[in-house]
Order: sequence, then C-alpha cells, then structure tokens
Amino acid sequence: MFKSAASVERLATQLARLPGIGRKSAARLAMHILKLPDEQAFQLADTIREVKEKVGFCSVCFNISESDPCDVCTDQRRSPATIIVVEEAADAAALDKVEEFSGRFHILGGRLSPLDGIGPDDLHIKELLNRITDEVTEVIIATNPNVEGEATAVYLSKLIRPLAIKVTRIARGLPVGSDLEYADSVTLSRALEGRQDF
Amino acid sequence: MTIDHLTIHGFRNLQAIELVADPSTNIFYGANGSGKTNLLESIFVLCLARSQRGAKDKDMVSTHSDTYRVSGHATVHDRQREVAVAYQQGGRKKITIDGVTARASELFANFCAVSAGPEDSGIVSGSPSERRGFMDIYLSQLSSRHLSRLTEYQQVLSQKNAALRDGLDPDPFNELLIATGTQIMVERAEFVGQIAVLAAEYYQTVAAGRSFTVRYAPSVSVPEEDYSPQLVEDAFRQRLASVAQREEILQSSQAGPHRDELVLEIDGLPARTCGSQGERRSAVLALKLAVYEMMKHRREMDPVLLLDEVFAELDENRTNGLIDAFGSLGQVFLTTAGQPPARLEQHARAFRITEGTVLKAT
Repeated sequence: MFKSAASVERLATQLARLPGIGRKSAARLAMHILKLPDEQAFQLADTIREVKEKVGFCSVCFNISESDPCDVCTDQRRSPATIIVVEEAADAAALDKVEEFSGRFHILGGRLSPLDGIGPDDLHIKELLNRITDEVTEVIIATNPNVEGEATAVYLSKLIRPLAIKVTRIARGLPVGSDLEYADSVTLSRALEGRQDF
Repeated sequence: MTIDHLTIHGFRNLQAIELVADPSTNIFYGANGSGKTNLLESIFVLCLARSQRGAKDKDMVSTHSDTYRVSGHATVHDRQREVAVAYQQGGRKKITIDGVTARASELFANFCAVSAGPEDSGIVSGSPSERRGFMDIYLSQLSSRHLSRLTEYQQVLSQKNAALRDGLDPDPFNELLIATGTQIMVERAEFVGQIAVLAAEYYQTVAAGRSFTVRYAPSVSVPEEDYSPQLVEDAFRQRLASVAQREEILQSSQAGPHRDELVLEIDGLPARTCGSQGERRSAVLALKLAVYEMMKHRREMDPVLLLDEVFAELDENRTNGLIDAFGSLGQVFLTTAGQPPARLEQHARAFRITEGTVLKAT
C-alpha cells in the first residue's frame, strides 16, 4: 500500500495485527501517526515500551502490576480475610470498581476447558490454595456463569471446602436497571431460583 | 385451531394453489409425485416455519421460481388470524402474523401442528438417538427451557469427554451434568408417562386386541421408576460414581440422558425387531396421535394434524379403526395415493392433485 515508504508499510502491518483492526484501519492509523507531531509520536512509542518493560504479574494474585506484590495485595486497608477468584485480570478490574468490596483478588489466568486443552495445572490454582492461611475466612468464586466457568467454580469449591473455609459463588440473575420483559427466559428462571427473602 | 383458506406460490412443484379447507377432514389424493406430500409440507411450514421432513428452505423453493410463499387464514381460539411464511432464494425467511413481521418462536406460540408420515418410521425402527429426538422435539415445542437445557447438556458433555480423552479430572463437569441431566430426565419421564397411556389407547383403536407399551428407559435406573427430581439426582450421582473407572478406561461418558432409550413393545415384544411393517406403522401412528392429544391438552387448542400416506401398509380393519378415530380429532389433512376409502370420503372434503395443481374439490 505504501510502496514509496517501507517503514510506513511496516507500521501498518504491525497495527493490523491488533485485535479489531483491519488492513484499512491499520493504514489510516499509520498515516495518522505519520502526521502526528514528533513529540506525540515518540510518546506513544515510549509508552508501549514502558508498558512492556514495567508491567508484569503480581506473584501473589497474578493480576497485572508494575510492582510485585501488587498495590492491591499490599494495601493494608484491604482485608486479607476475603479473596475473590476471577478468570482474567479484566474481571478483577471490573470488580475493583465495586466500592463495597474491600477484599483481595486472585486471578486464575483462564478457566477449565478440556476442549481447549486447559486443565487445573494450567491455572493458578495451587497458588490460590497456598494463599489460604488462617487469616482467610471466605473465598468468593466469581468465574463467568457459563459451562466452563461453572465447572471451574465446582472444582475450586471441592478443593477449598475441606479447608473449613466459607466458599461462596456470586449470584446470577437480572442486570440492575433492566426491564423484566426484555430478559431471556433462562436468565429469568435463574433469577427466580436465586430469589431471596424480603 | 383450523386453517380455513390456504394460498401457495412457488413451493416445490406447487406453482399457484388456492384452496378452502374443511374444518374437519381434508383428503389430498392423486398419483405418485403429484404433490400431495408437498401440500402437507406447505401447511407444516405455515404453522411452524420448517419442514416436517427436515428439508432446507432452499430446497423447498420451486425450480421455476426463486421465492416460495405460503399464506393462510386460520381460526385460533375463535379468532381470525392471517399468517404467511415466505422465503427468497439466498435471503431470509419472512414470517408475518396478522400483517406484522414475526419470529419463528411467535409462530410456535400461536399455532400448533403435528404430522405423521413415512419419515417417522425411524422412531420405531431406527436407532435410540431417533427416539430421543422424538421426545426432545415435542418437549422443546412445549417448553423453550428444554431446548436450552439440551444445548447446555451437550456443551458440558463435550467438555467432559475432552477431559476424559486428555486424562484430566472430569469431576467438575459431572456436577453440571447432574444438574442439567436431572432436569432433562425428569421432563422426559413426565412426557413419556403422559403419552404412554394415550398411545396404548390409540393403538387399541387402530389394532383392536393388541397391546402397545411405551416406557422410558433412562441410562440411569431410578428406583421404582419414581422420577421426582431429588431421587433422579441421587441416582444419577451414584451411577456416575460407579461408572467413573469405566469412563476413565473407555475415555467417554457412559451414563446420562445422552444414552436414554424409549422402549416400544407390541404384545410384550420389541416393536423394532418383532413387529411387522403394518404393526410398526400403527405404532408410529399411535405415538403421533398420543403426542397430538397431549399437545391439545397442554396448548389448549386442537393442533392441525397432517397424515401422509397413513393408510398404506394398513389392512382394512386398521384403516377403519383409524377412520373412526378421526371423529375425535380436530382438523386433519391427509394424503393417499389411491382413491380415498369410501367410508372416509362421505364426511370429508377431497381434493384431487395432478401435477402440482388442485383439480377438483368435492
């Protein structure tokens, strides 16, 4: 596409490898970067380098972090008594917005899915069990509510329950602010199953 | 419900057909290949937006056209409804109810049809999977939850089988298998319990003096055939524990609704291997009429009944038995290759079909 400038062509090719970016969009982005003031373009390049150099995984909870252990694991205001288990770092980021939750995270790095060749040894499960010391009173399992997520939850609960620790599963049901009439019947029946005393 | 008026364009060999149907019995007769079954199929499409013989939309479009359109006036719960199903080659199927675009699920919710024909012979003589399919198709029509449970069960089963193949622990998937599998078994048991009595009665009507037994035989045996959810769940859990070792060796799931069977017996002998052609045909017919009766009860309306070549392979006594049963049914559309039986013609509207056109209505 950019025969006159091989480096622009290389940039476009690199950008096209990103998720959600096609060849046309990549070409537009490459042209845009070319037109940027030098300072801005170098800043972008430096930030990418910085992210790759600085960000790693917390050796305790396996969340993405610039320090090890991460800020959440070392935050004294957060209670070490509750651990919430999620599949991916993005799930932890979503849960971190919940002000009511002041416990700590554990990121499994995936979910049980034998069809994709992922078994318990491919997830950070041993590390989770090692974290369960006397000060932990509850483990909340927040894997996704699909077949693989549920199977992972079942697997974890069977491992943790013998340790005489409370194991809970997040509820399934209706999104807040939604309309009943638009909910699908499966979600509605789950919501009914999980109804609570008023 | 009844279909009062039917218009067909470009559907298989039916180019342009318009007919006024009788609210009770309608007979389509004519030579082989004249289009009788196609007519029944078009009515099934009108009620359920799919073919009773599993044909694809693109194959149902006439070779001389690129669009099929089936439309009709129906009476449902004393209310006049207008319904149309159309498909353009390469496009999407368009369903309208009372002039408003609708989804197939709305069609299921408003209309109801049961068909019986040569394509159903597999229910008696085919593999167990065809009998499981028979249970599940009608259960799915009665409850949308059943279909989603089947899909979920299949997903869990594939994961469990993959775990067994790869030497991983299948146990986490067993819990989910038990949860969805139990519900499937309970629903199937209830369904079979209801149709078994009706099917036995209908078999008596068609073949007096012979007994027809329909029994649910799940791969998990439940004590005293008490299918209350808790007992089924316990039995399923125990069974999975007892086959765990075998599953590990064979690397596949050995117990669950995916291995259920529907036992069909005529005078105590398996219908599949011991029944004659005629007996097996009668058995399929009795099952379908039982489903008809159950749908009628659960849906609180008479389904439209479509019978394709049901008199073939039935002797005179059985034919007469079947005709007697028509009195208690709602609207029936049936096909026959020869001249319709005289007893039936008296109180039915007959349509002679020749090369895709309706020649004569009497």
